[in-house]
Amino acid sequence: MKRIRIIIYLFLISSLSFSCSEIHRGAIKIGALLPLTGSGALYGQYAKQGINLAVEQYNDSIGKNGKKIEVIYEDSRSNAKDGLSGFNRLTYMKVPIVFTEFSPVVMICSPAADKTKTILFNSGAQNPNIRYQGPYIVSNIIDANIEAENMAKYLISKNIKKVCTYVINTDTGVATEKTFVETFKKLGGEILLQERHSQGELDYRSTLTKLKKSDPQAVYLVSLVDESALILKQAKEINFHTQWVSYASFQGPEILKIAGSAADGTIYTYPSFNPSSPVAQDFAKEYFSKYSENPEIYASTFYDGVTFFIKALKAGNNSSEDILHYFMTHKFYGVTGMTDFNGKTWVDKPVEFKIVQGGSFRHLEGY
Amino acid sequence: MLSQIVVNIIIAASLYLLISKSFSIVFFTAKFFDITQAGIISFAAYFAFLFYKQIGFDFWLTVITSILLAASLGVIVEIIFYKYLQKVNADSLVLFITSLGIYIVFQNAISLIWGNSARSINAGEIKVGNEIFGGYITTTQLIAICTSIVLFIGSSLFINNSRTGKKMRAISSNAKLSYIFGIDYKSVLLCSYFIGSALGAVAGLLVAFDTGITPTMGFNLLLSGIVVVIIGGIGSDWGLIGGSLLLAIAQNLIAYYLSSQWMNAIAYVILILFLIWKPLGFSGKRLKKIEI
Repeated sequence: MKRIRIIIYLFLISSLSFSCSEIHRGAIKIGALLPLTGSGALYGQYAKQGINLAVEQYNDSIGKNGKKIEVIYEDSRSNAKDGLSGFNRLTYMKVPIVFTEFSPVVMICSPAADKTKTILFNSGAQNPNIRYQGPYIVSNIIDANIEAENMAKYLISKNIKKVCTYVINTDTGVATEKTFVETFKKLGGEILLQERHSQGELDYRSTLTKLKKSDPQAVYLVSLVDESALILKQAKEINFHTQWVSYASFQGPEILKIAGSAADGTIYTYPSFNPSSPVAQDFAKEYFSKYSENPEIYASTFYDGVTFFIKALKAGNNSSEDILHYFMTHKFYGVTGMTDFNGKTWVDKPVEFKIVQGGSFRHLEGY
Repeated sequence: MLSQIVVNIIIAASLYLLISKSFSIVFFTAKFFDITQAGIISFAAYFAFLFYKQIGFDFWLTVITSILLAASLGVIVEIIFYKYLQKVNADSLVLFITSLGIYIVFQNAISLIWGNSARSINAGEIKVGNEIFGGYITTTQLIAICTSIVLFIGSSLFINNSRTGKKMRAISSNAKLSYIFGIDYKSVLLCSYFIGSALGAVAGLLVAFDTGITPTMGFNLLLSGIVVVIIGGIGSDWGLIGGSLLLAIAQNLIAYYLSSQWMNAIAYVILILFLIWKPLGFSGKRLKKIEI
């Protein structure tokens, strides 16, 4: 009994000391709910690097006496269960804003964000349904609907009118498929087949055989990067050659590692990112000097999100209500272009087209 | 397209054959549904990923090391957990639940170490498969089919003709009587765990080199193996062959004509139908049991 009591005391003391070390008195605390481990850890790392750079620049600029920003990170592991736990811990610490990504995490945390009036700032998830989640859920990255519409228009402009869709059976996959199919049909295209697969499947041969038989001019693929890579690999192995088209999540190192040459020629939409603008160039320079790598789009969207938040802070907004009002009524020109909510909780930014060519992701000339 | 469907069926059936054999060898002697085998299959695949991709071992060294390590893992689980539970006369339900718990620990360990995303071991140039009557099959898949068939026949011959195999059959028939006749139950059980786990490990490697790996791959494969064992009939090699073919045909046809998302569902529909109308499976035979 005595031993148990000692253990409880030690636990309480260690918890107390941990809490004290976590919270720097006087700092402005913001939350970041990212996949720091698990399958989405790479995207979490991009986001973290973007956030840290923006916060570091601000903290360096205000001097010793100013109120610094402190980021409290929680690991969402890119799944809803861990995401909600992490979000609850952050709201318990009364942070006004939580930066996050991954659709299941954003969707599950949305009701809690609205209830606690905490801004859930999404800079990575593209589920089209996020825009309907509530006033406190704002996104500075375009959703997959916008990408699907652009891809449908692109295919029609290239006289590709007989297409199949192959999507992952998740909210994002299904919603994106719906938008693509509706837009494509409206523009005069024909959908030959609509196929879906479950998350975590490894063998896609049966469905690919079916798609091959329908002889489409193109297949619109909406899936996770790992699954997309396996699909392209297996398609090549059964000699199924078609024009594969996809969306932003397609771009990831796994595509090149797993699918290799099978991914060559795949065209996909991507949030527009103009690396030649002065803001983007400064950011890329700073980013490279800090991390010795070029920034990915997600590092840029998170950097923009935090920088926009800092602008709101500098304008004297401290509560989540005031910050949200600032977002809705102000424009922000950042690394990823113009963020203009204009009363909405989502943005409509330009889309660019990219292609896999010779083992790298390149901008598609002319688009 | 028919030839491609046939190719897909043969690939799936050969894999199910190997998995069902690995599962039935353990079930044959231990007499409970050992779900840990799913973790062994996944671990074998991830060991191969570790040695081949991350450390850079030679191919054959990767294969041998991965199989040995995974099979040893099966034996270690038996020594640490099942042996103790059997000592305290735990029934098959307790053993089943324990194996489920161990599997969850294994799966989480894999997720923590390597992450949840799908990974691929085959890093070579992706090529169009070899054409056979209009269908396409890769060299890896051809090797996988041959390996599965050879190991299935080999393990059947071993169980039917070797001294250890005969002991395994004796224990399966009546453990107490075998003990009276001087058969070392513990060592034979360990042997069956080793062989069963090794066959499961090979199946894991074949999938890993053909398609890819995920932490849950073992569970999906083992479930197919269990369905085959139940619909084929326990202890019947012909039953396993028939069960594997039936499951592979049903799954591939449903994926082709309906959707791949129904592949698991159709496996369970077949399982339920067999449990209702043909509970002893294709073979329809009960295991012989000699009473004292």
